[in-house]
Order: sequence, then C-alpha cells, then structure tokens
Amino acid sequence: METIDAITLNHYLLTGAALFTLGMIGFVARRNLIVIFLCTEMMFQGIVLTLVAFSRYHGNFDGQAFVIFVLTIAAAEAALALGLVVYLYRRKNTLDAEAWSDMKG
Amino acid sequence: MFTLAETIMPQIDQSLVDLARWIPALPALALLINGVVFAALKPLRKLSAAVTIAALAGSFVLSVLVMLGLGDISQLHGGITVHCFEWISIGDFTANFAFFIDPLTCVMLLVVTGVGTLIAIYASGYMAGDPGYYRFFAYIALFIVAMTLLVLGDNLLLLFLGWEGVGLSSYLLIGYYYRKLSARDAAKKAFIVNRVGDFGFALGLMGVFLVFGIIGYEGLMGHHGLADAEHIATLPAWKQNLVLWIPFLLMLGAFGKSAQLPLHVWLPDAMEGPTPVSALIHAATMVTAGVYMIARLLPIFQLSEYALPTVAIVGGVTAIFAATIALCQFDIKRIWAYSTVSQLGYMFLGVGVAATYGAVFHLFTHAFFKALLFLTAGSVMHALAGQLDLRRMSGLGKKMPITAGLMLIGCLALAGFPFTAGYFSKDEILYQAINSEFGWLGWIGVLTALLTAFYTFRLWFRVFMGETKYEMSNEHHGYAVDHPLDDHAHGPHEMSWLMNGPLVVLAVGALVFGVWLGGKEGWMMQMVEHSSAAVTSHASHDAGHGAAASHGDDHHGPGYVSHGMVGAISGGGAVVMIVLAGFFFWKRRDLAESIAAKLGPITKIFENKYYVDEAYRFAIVLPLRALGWFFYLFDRVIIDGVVLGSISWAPRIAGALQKPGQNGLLQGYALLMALGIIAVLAVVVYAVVL
Amino acid sequence: MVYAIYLAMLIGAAGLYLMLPSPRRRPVVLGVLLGLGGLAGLMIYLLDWAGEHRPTIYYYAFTVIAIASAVRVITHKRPVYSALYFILVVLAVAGQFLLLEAEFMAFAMVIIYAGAILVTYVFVIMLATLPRSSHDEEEAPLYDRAARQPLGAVLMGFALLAVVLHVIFAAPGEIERPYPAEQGLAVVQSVPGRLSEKKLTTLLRSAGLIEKGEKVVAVDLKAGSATVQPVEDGQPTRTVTIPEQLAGAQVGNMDRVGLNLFESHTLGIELAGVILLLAMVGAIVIARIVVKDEGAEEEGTKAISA
Repeated sequence: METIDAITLNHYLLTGAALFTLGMIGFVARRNLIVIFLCTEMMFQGIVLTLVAFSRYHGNFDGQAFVIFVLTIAAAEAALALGLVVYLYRRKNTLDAEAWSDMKG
Repeated sequence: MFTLAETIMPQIDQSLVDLARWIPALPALALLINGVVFAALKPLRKLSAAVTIAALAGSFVLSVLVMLGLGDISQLHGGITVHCFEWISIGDFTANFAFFIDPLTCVMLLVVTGVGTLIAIYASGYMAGDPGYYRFFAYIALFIVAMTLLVLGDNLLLLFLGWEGVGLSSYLLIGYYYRKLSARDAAKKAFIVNRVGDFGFALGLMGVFLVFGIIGYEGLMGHHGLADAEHIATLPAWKQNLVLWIPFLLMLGAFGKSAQLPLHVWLPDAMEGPTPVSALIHAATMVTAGVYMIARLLPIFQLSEYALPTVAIVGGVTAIFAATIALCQFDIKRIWAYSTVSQLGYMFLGVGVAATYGAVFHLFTHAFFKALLFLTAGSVMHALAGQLDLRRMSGLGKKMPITAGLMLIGCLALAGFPFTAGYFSKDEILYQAINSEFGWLGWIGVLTALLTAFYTFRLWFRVFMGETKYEMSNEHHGYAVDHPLDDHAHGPHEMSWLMNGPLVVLAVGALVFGVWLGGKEGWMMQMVEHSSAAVTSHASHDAGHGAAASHGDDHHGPGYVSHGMVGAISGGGAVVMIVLAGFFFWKRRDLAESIAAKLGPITKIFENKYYVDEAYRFAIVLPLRALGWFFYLFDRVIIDGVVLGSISWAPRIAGALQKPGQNGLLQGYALLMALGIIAVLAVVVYAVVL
Repeated sequence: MVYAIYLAMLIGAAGLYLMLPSPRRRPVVLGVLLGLGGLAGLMIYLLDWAGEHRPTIYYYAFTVIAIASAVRVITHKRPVYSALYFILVVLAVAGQFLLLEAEFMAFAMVIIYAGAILVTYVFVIMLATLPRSSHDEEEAPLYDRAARQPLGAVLMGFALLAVVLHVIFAAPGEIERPYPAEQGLAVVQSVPGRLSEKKLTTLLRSAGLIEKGEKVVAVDLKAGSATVQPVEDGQPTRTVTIPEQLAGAQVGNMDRVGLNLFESHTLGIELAGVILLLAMVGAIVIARIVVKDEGAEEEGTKAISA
C-alpha cells in the first residue's frame, strides 16, 4: 500500500478533529437524550477517521482493525444506551436530561 | 536396654521418612471436614469425633513409621530434611516448607499424636451432647496441625508458624464456652500474655536472620553450621553483640508459651476450657513447646554464656513458686495447672543445666501422667456436674473406684514415687542440676519434689478418701442448666469405657515408661543423644556436667552427689510426704485446717498466688486503662469539641462553594471534564511537543 | 499564519452559537452565514497551507459535507432530522475512507452505521417522542427547542479544536513512522496457498510479463519468483520475478484487515465478541423491566386539564 505524506495526513486529522469537536459541543449543549447519544456517535466518527488516516500513513492495518472494535463498541452502546433511553422515557415521559439530575449535591 | 529401631531396621529408609509430609496433612483434612462439611451439614456432625480420631491415629501411625524409617539412630548424624514445597523466597531469604526429622522430632511427634489420639477418644465421650461438638474437634484438629508443624519445621519461621498456630487454637479452645464471661476473659488473657512472649520470639527470629542470613536448622546447627563460636568470631562487632541477645529474645517466647515466671499467669486461667483441652494443650503438649524450642536450638542458646543459666534459674524458681501455690488451692484443675507450671519449671531447669536428656524425658513422661490427672479430674467434674471445689467433695473413691485408681497412678507418677515414670525422669534432672554449678537450684528442685508429693496427695486423699459427701454443681460443660440432666441426676458415677480406656493406656505409660525407656542405654537417651539437642560443646560441659559426665566417675568435685543418692532422697522424701498427706487429709483433716489457720499470712499468700495477678493489675492493666480514659477524654474534648468546632469549618466552606458545580446534570460534568482535558492537553502541547 | 485558522474557527464558532436552538429569537440567518464563512475560511487556509501536496478535490467536498451535516446534527430542533443528517456525516466519512484506500471500512461504516445503528435510533425516536398534532416547530418540547449552556459549549469546543489544531499545524517536522509499511509479498508470504498458480498466471499475463499460452507451474514466494512453462512441450522453463505491487494488489483491503485482526488482535476479537454478547443480554434485561411511571400522574393531569 502506498503511504501518504504528513500534509495529507494532517488534512484528514483536521476533519476528524472537527467532527469530534462538533460531537462534543452537541453532547454538552443539547438536552434531548437521543440527540446526546447521537453526538457520541459523531465523536466516534471523528475518531474512526483519524484511525484510518493514521493506518494509511503508517502503511499497516492496525488502525483499521481498531475501527472494527470502535464499531463493536458503538453497536453495543447503541443497544444498551437506547434501551436505557426508552426505559427512562417510560419512567418520566420526557427525554430531557435535566429530569435526571437527582445526583446533584 | 531396648532399642526398637536397631532391632528392626539398620538403615535409613527414605520412603518411610517421607511419610512425614502426611503427618500434618491428615489432621488438616479432619479440620476441613469438621470446619466446612460438618459445619454446613448438621446430620453428619455425629461423625466429627470419629473423623478426628481417625486422622490423629493415622498421624500417630505415620509418626511411628517415620521413626522406624530413621533406622539405627546411633548411626545418624544430624537430621533428615523432607522437602514439601518452596514457601517463601525473597532475595537472599528462603524459607522452605520442609520438615526436619531427627530423633527429637520423633519423640515430640509420638507425644503429640499419641497423647492427642488418646485424649480425642476420651473427649468423644466427654463432649457428647455438646452443641459445639464439631467445632471442638475442628479446633483440636487445628491444634494438632499447628503442633506437628511446630515440631516438624526445618526452619525457625515454620516453627514460628506452628507456634502461633497452637497459640490460636489454644485461644479458641480456652474460649470454647464463649457464653461464659470468665472463659472469654481467660482466652484473651492467654492470648495477650502469649503475645508478649511471641514478640520476643519474633525479634529473636529476625535477629537470627540478621546475623546469620539463614533460618534453617541445618544451616545453623548442622555440620559446619553457622551458629558456632568460630564463625561468629569472624562477624562484625555489632553482629557479635546481637548474637548475645538472640537467646534471651527466644527465651522470652519459650517462657510465654510454657508459662514460666513472670508470664505464667495465663495457664491457671486457661482451665476455663473443656477439660480434655486442659489435658492436651495446657498440660501435655503445647506448653512443652518452649522446652522443645530450647532443646532444639541448644547450640544457639549456648552462644551466650548467661542464656542457659538464666533458663535454669527461671525454671527452678518457677518450679517451687508454682508448687507452693498449688499447696493451698481448692480448685482441682487449678491445682493441676500450677502443678504443670511447676513441672515445666523442672524441664527448664533441666535444659538450663544442659541436661536435655532429662528435660525431654520428663516432657515425655509428664505428658502421660499429667494428661491422666487432668482427664481423671475431668471425670470427677463430669460426675459432679462441674463441681471442682475440693471442699465440696469427699470420699468419692467408693462411688468411682476406677477413676480413683487411675488418678492414684497419675498422682504417684507426679509425686515421683519410686519406680514410676515421673520418678526416673525427675531424678535425672535433679541429679544433673545438683551436680551443676547451680547446685542450689538442684536442692530447690528436691524441695519442690517433696512439696509436689504433698499437694498431689492432699488432693487425692480429699477427693477419694474419707467420709462420702459431695455437692453437685449446676453446670454441664460450661452451660448452666436449669433442670437436672438425666445422666447426672443420680450423683457420682463411673465413666463409660470409651472414656476410661484411653486413661488406662495413659496410666500404663505413666507406670512403665520410666523403667522401659529410661537409663543410660535406654531408648530415650539414644533419641536425645543423636538429635540437635545433644550436648556437645565444651562450654556446656563446664556449665553443667552434660550427659556425658555421667559416664566417668573419676573427676567429680567435692560437692558431688551420686545418682543413687538423689534417687533415694527424692523417692524416700516422696513416700514420707505421701504418708504425711494421708495423715492430714484422710485421717485428721481438722488438724490440717488448724495448722493452715495458724500459718494464716503464709497460707493467704499462697492462696492468692503471691498476688501476681494483682501486681499485674496495678502495674499494667490499671495504668493502661487510665491512659485509655485519658485518650477518650482527649478525643471527646479536644478532637470533637475544639477541632470539629473550628477547623472543620474550612472544608465545610470549601464544600459550600463547590456545591453549585455539582448540579447533577450529566452534561455539566461533561463540560468540566472536557475543560480539564483541554487544560492537560494544552500543557502537554506547549511543554512536550513544541 | 497559524493564527488565521483560529480566526476562521472563531467565526465558525460564533455562527454555531447563533445556530444552536434557542427559545428566543436569534439571528439564525446571520449564524448560517457566519458558519459558512468560517468553513470557507478554513478550506481556503487549507488550500494555501498544503501548497503542492493538496489532496484531491473529493477530500474538500467530503469535508465540507461532513462538517456542514455535523453542524446540522447538533443544531436541528427535530431529532429525526438530526439522525438523518448524521447519516450524511457517515456517508461523507465513508467517502473519506475510500480516498484513504480503506474500502472495506467505508462499506462497513455505511452498512453498520447508516444501516443498523441509525435505524435503531430512528425507532427509538419513534418510541420516545410525544405525539404531535402539527409540524409546527413551536410545538416541539422545550428540551428540543432550547440548548443548554450554548456559549460555554461552543467556547469549550473552540478551545479543544484550537489546542488540537495547534499540534497539527504548528508542530514542526514529520510525525515518526515507527512501523514499516506492509508490502505485497510480505503479506502474501504469511498466508500459505493464498496466491495460486492459476491466479498468478492470469495476473502475470495481464501485466504483460508472460505471453499467451504460457502458464505458471510453481511459485517461490520467498524468492518472489514464479516458474513458467512455455507454450510448446519440451522447451526449458523460465523464471519470472513477481512484482511486489502485483502480489500486494491481489490481497485486497478486506483480506488485509482480516489478516491483521486475526494475526495481531486475536484477544481483541474475542473480547469484542463478549462485549456484544453482554450488550445483547443487557438490552434484553433492560427491555424486560416493568417501569413504574413516575411522570404519569403529572402528565396525566396535564392531559386531562388540556
């Protein structure tokens, strides 16, 4: 496999970082539990892009193998977290994250 | 006279010696079965006695086989090591789980497992009907595991492991009737007093490691062992100084475990435990661990010229001290307890004057007759529902003839009546002591022997002779009962043969072992002479005429007293004292009481055990309690009042300031976390990358 | 010049702040314009910075699509639209993967993310959204209409991106490549029997290294050569060197990822399997819980009064 040079790599890193940051902003700013989880998936997108870019840069496949693991975690998280979201929604009839602030000091 | 091994097997049989591995393993198995299986499955608990007895008997058989495996012990040089597994290995320090088999080990193993088996059989009858039956036998098995490890271990650390293990099982068994306050207190007392001694032992152990770098017997005391004067002369000065302290530290452990002055106070109280426990642990085996330890580590004790004399003096003083207390007590078990302290004093006197043969021999015979005495006392107690007070029983001989006869045998052996086992072993010690440079200790020993005969038969005549009258107590095995139990309602009765059988074996041992095993060429002499307890170095020859001194009669000093003479004095004295005791406590008890009343103050001192407990109370317990009160008040006033009132405001205010940040919202925390990450990342970027 | 990128990002951040949902009236159009300006500034900066080493135009296209869609994911007031825009993000990232020669990953992303995970999201949105009478945005619940701490979030994001980009654009020199690139034959050698004679014959023929009618009879991967039997019988065989690229191309991206996974990350694969199993069990357990509706009374009374 042909490797890419550092400047090209940096382009992809920038895209990955932007996606991650936007996901992070959404995670902090949005109040809907579903959208919050959607934003975590978007952060995964940024990470995955970074991993593949580095995989290409180094010319081996460890990065792409890790993408498989990220996908695994994302799938597991979607199954569990969304199950929990439905559960929480059935308890309080709202998706507002602020409804679940019982742990405040 | 009779050398068992010589006639049967001329050479070492390693396969038999290797069986030693299973000696602690069998009781350990019994412990597991009792402690886990029977604890969980109630219906099976009836079997716990059978399982334990089988395990102990198995260990006894193995011990005999191991001894046979040693072959002709006169050809034996040093011991045989049986390696089990590597236990601890840190840097230069190694402590293997390995066993050191030499004749001394074998003697101890036979005592522990043999007497242990007999007592377990007795206990299966004695403890019948007790709700904690399986628990009792689990503890007994634990004790045997620890005790066999103690005598088998090939290094000081394994010895220490067993040492603490027997301490633990002793604690558990003294406090066996844990509903009784006195039993709990006695257990704590035993444990705490033993800690004092064990602390010394632990320091001594560390000292040995510090000086020699090894703790194995073979490396320390085998051929070319490090613990000899020539090697020590090559060590740096601080090590040479430390060496002088090691025996004294180890000695402290021995004094604690074997209840010597001033750490003897726990043993009489330990009688709160079930009687078979008193017989097994607090008379026959565990308390002799100190004697075993000094005998085993004799070369180390010889490193300091004052160590063995100290042992001898403490032993001799303890012997007469405890004997005088025993003279005026009224509780049967306490009398035997003080008697045990006194007899242990003899053993220490023996090892102290380097008469290890006499000491080990006395240890051996004492195990038999003292176990017999305790168990017969237990039978009396069993018959009278817990009654132990001499003043409330009399003339039981007619109701319990077999018990009376068995106890008579034990009493004769303890009193040193001629040609019983105790007579031979005690005379050996007295003879060696009188002819050592501490002759006066020997004469104290003779005096003690006379007192022993007197108090022993005081007890026997009061309990079994004279007019028959008794008061039942209301206890059954430490649990107070409201209603008379069926088998105790009809008064004193003879025990079943399940309980009397083991006593007969012990009685036979108490009678014949002296004649059978004693003497210059006897089995016991062979065993001791070919173990590490053998007295070899010149220093010990000077300190006390060693065993070898008895061979040549030509270089005796002016104060020399022959063996026959010592025997005649102590034996004759014993007979006289027995007759005297018979006169006072059978025929003319009123006379005895009036004499005791005339000697008022002295009797009072004896009755109150020289006020040692009170002295401890005022010197140690009360100051500590006062200190505790001081700290309690300090805590309440200073800490709770001043500190909580002032300083605690700082964290409270800090907490109040941070409280709004903890708004319970997931995203709030996420934001703060992200800011933290950014901060760390910024530091990394500017400090490391750029 | 590094600071020009910060300026572009700051403009974008301001736009994003205006675009985030708010119950109050915000100049959203201004926000969109600012956002687009920031994005355009970023792209221009990149074009200028890369100089001769510019990647293909597709990179810029996919990046713009990805970032713009991502902004819509976090700013849209209706969760369904957020989910749909997220699919667009996934597609754009998959496109980037294609540019990076990670074909398997690209299609795996589309299938798993867009196909499976997002469908789950849409189902959950369906299950957990209050029925609504009209499509009037004002009727959306407050938690969709109002962002929490938008300013703090945007500033945090700006700081995070600034620090990360500083490493990328201000760090001097190349990033070390600690691993040697995997080359064609090296990979092929690790799989015995992977390159059959028949396959190699086709390959070499299409590369013009052997003539029509000739066929490979033996392969020596160690030496990287193949023994070729000529057309007519009886003539001596000849040896052809296999070009590395040729062999490497034969082992595709998917093969390589699989090889890497099962050679270097066996334990990871096992753990991933366990995690998936646990997630499945956990999801079933959660689904079976009978819920006590705490909000039912309040909501119920509201519904009745309404």
